[in-house]
Amino acid sequence: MKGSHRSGFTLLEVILAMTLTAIVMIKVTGARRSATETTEADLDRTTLDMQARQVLRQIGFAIMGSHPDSLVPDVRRPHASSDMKFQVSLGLESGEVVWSEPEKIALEEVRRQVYWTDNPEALEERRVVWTSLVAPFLEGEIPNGIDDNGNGLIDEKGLSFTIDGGAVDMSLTLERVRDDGTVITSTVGTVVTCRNLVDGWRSAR
Amino acid sequence: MLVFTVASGILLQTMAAGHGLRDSAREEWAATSAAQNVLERLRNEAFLSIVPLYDSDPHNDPSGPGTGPGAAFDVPGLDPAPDDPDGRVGEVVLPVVNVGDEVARDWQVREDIGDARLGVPRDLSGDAIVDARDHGDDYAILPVLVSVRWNGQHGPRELRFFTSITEIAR
Repeated sequence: MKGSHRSGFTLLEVILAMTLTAIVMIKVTGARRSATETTEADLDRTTLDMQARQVLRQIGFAIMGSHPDSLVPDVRRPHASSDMKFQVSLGLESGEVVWSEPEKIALEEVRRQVYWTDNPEALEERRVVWTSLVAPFLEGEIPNGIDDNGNGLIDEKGLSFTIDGGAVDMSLTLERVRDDGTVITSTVGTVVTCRNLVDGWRSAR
Repeated sequence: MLVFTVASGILLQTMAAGHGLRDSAREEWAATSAAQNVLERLRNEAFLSIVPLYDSDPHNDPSGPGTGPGAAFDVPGLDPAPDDPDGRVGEVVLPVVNVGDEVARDWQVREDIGDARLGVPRDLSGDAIVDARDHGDDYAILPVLVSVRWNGQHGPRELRFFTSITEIAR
């Protein structure tokens, strides 16, 4: 009965194997696509987080070098300002402290920019834009006269400053629309104390 | 087929690990940032008010009982570790000890006893002598430890920041 031994696969077996292979490949490809999208969204969020932290650090370092009496406006909780003027000590000249021209860090709402400037509003004003992704209001806040996000501030903008003695409390929300239309936000906050406590502060202007 | 499936599995695993790492980095940044903010707030206080404001005794707060921030703080986005006694992730450790009992508490700034993480015993008043007095009103150097302990993605995690604060006479 040797002649009855069969080698190879039937058509049905081949079709079944090919169908199973196709199903597995579709599933795996779908999972890979989904994972790739999640990773890309994650990377975008991480990039935005890093940018927000970097901008906040830059703002912090700038204000840290200032004299607390030079901070304008003197805004206290629950109100906040979206700009801050300050002056730093440049050193001593003939025994007198030399103060810098006023510097300002502010939010340009229309362009959604945070910028640093020296000599604000003067002819020789210089501006440096630090980011162009600022949200109109801090995350969770809407302009309605109350504190919506529970941070103790009312209607604070995407960049907000409050003063507490010699310390400045600052928060920043960046917002970016991804290619697929989803919006990602990153909110960071910090406190810095003005370190430049030399005597004899006076306004340069 | 098998190779393809295994390769896809490895890729997915790598992506998941990357996601976990990013979350861990986010947690770490939140903890670092919160600790840094606490240290900045400490720096902003009158030097001799730091201890009454930031010790765990609410009765000695300069503006009235319970008005100071106290020794514990929360960090948004971080959950306390399961074995955390007060359920709050952040803690400010100062060289203070309760020399009274649980009912009649007497918190003192001491040079001779206290938390070893702060380097105690050590001179805090600047007289080069380690004694057994309360230095609450004459400490010249204040060691501070800010600890953030939370229940992270991969189990309990802790970050500690140690510094010393002093006042510059001007």
